[in-house]
This record gives sequence, structure tokens and C-alpha cells, in this order.
Amino acid sequence: MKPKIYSEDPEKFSVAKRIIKESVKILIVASIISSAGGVGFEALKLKIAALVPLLIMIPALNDMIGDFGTILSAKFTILLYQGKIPKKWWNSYELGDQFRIIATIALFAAFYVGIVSVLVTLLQGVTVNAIEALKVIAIAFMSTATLVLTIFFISIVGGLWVYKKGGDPNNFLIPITTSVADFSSLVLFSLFIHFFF
Amino acid sequence: MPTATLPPFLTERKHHWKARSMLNREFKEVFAAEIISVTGGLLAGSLIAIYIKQLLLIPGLFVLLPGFLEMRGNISGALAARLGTALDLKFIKPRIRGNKVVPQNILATFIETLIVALSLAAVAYAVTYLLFGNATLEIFAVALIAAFISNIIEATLTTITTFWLYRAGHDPNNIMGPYVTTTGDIISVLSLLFAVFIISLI
Repeated sequence: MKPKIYSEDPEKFSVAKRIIKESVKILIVASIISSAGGVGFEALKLKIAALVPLLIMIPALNDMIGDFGTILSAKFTILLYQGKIPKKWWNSYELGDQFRIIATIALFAAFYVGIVSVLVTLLQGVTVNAIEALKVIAIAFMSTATLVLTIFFISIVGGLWVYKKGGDPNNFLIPITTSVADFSSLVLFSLFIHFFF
Repeated sequence: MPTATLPPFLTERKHHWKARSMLNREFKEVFAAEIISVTGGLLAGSLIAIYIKQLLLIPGLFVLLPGFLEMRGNISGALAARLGTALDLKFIKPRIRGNKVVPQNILATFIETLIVALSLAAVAYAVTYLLFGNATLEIFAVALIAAFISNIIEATLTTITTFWLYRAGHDPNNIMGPYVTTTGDIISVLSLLFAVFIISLI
């Protein structure tokens, strides 16, 4: 059956009203969770402003972890529906394959983000010494590795929980993993900056 | 020869190769999309680094920024997904002109953007006031102006690109995700900078 929001000849504002009613709450919650991660940044803003390569890599790392949250959630949901997740989920070959793909791409992308951030900083005429460059790349690696593991764990635990309750894990996992990714990446990033610089 | 007549070691190997080639394809697709998405993020980060002095002028902007970027991706991503699904299932015709569903979808994104931006500004104001004691009401003006400008650009781009991709024979759902996060980050940062510039003139 065709949902009302896709009607070719909708009543005045009916589609807009329905979209807003269905999504505005989760949008506000997801955005506020992401902004909570910005509190650490506000506290360290003068320090961060001086660390140009880190400033450059923040949106890229945030995007990357959020994207992996979406990919992992969608893939895990498909595997659940296909009945490919055994009771002992850690024994699933398919899940292992997904983890290897995501982990390999994540670590490569982290390296790319770290290197490009340092290069762009140098192009802007700001000096970056070898130790600082290594610290920047190390922060990119450590943040990515920690967050990919976190997102993987949330997807599995949250996905199994929603699936057992009879819900569609996609509806729950995608907003949750992206906002948790945003929040925890900023918190983790702030902690690394605090300890490394 | 039918697969059933093959000895198990051959069928197993065949399945193994099939699975491996699917994994390779998946790896390439995710890898390409991720590099594009991350490059967009690096561009947005470079803009922040270049204009950091202007951004530091408004207390609470660093609290607002992550939520603002998240909002842009979520609202435009949902718009693209709704239009992509409607086109894919042939619920709507693949043209924008005369399509009554499109203006209502865009109107919804405007209302949602303004509501979420206002909520984010309130959180940024409260946090800055309570934790750092230097909050200003300018954060509300910056959030609303930037939200409005970014939505004009992003909603238009998202709608046009989704319809164009569908007419060109692609599945918009496979492409619009990284596209929306990449363009969304850059447009959001530029809109915030423009809003700060307007506020600093006033």
C-alpha cells in the first residue's frame, strides 16, 4: 500500500506535517547528543585553535565514524533478517568479514586524514614539526580504532535487543550510532588533545 | 554442469570465490564512498581552520557546531532517502515541476531545520552560561541565520541531485548518503561563517 506521505495529490501541508511529526523529536535528540561532545571543545577551544591539523581533521573523523555507524547498522540488520547471526554472534563469519572490511578502511582513512591534515596545515604556512605530525596521526589512529570498536559493539548489542523486541533495528541503530559516534569522537578527541599537547 | 553434481570441495571453493568477490566489491564501494566523504570533511575542517578567529568571537559556537553538522546530514539525508524511495517505488513521477510532494518535503526540512537549530542554540547558550559564564544571545541569531541559508542551498541541491541521479539510471539511495554528508559539512561551515559575518556587521 502506498504510504500517505508519497501520495501524488496530497492534502495541503499534510505531507510536511507528517514528516515533522515523525522525525523532529529524534532529530533534536540526535543533534543535542552530538552537541554535547562539543562541550569539551568549547573548554579547550583556545588550545585547539592553535593546533591547526587537529582542527582540520575533526569534521572528517566525525563524518567517518558516523558513516561506519550507518554502514554497520544497516549490514547487521540485514544479517539479522537473513538469520545469519547465531546465538554466539562472535562465531559469525559474515559479521567477521564486515568487521575486517570496516576496520581496514577505517585505519586507512585515519592515516589519510592524518597525513592530509598535516599537509594542508603546511600549505597554510603553519609550521608542524615531525613530533607534532606523528602525534596528529597517532590521535587519528587511536580515535578511529577505539570508536570503530565502540560502534561495532553498540550495533550488535542494540541491534539484537531491538530485534528480540520485534522492532526494525535500522530505525533505532542509525540515529543512535551516528550521534553516539559524534559525541564519543569529540570527547575522545578532547581527551587525547589534553594528554598529548 | 549443474552445481548439485559437483563434488563438495569444488562447490565450497566456488562459494568461497563468490563470497570473496562480493566482499572485494563491497570493500571498493565503501572505500570509494568513504574517501569522498572524508575529503569533504577535510575541506570543511580547512575552512574552520582558516576562519577560526571569526568563529572564536561567538561564545558557544564550538558547542553548536557538531550538532549543526549532524542536523544538516540527518535532515538532508532523510529528504534524499524519502525522495529516493518514492522514485524507486514509482510512487511519484521523476520530475520536480508540478510535483506536489516535493514542495511539502522541502517545507518540512525548513521547519525541522529551524526547530532543531533553535534547540541547539538553546543548549549551546545554557551550557556556555552554566559552565563558562560568558554566553551571549548572538548564538541564537547565528544558528537561525546559518540554518536558513544552509537549508536553502542543501535542500535545493539534494532534491535536484536525487531526481537527476534517478533519471540518469542510478539508485539515489546508494550515492546520496556520502554526497549529503560531504556537501552538508562544507555548506554548514560556510553558512555559519556567513552568519557570524552578518552578526559582526550588526
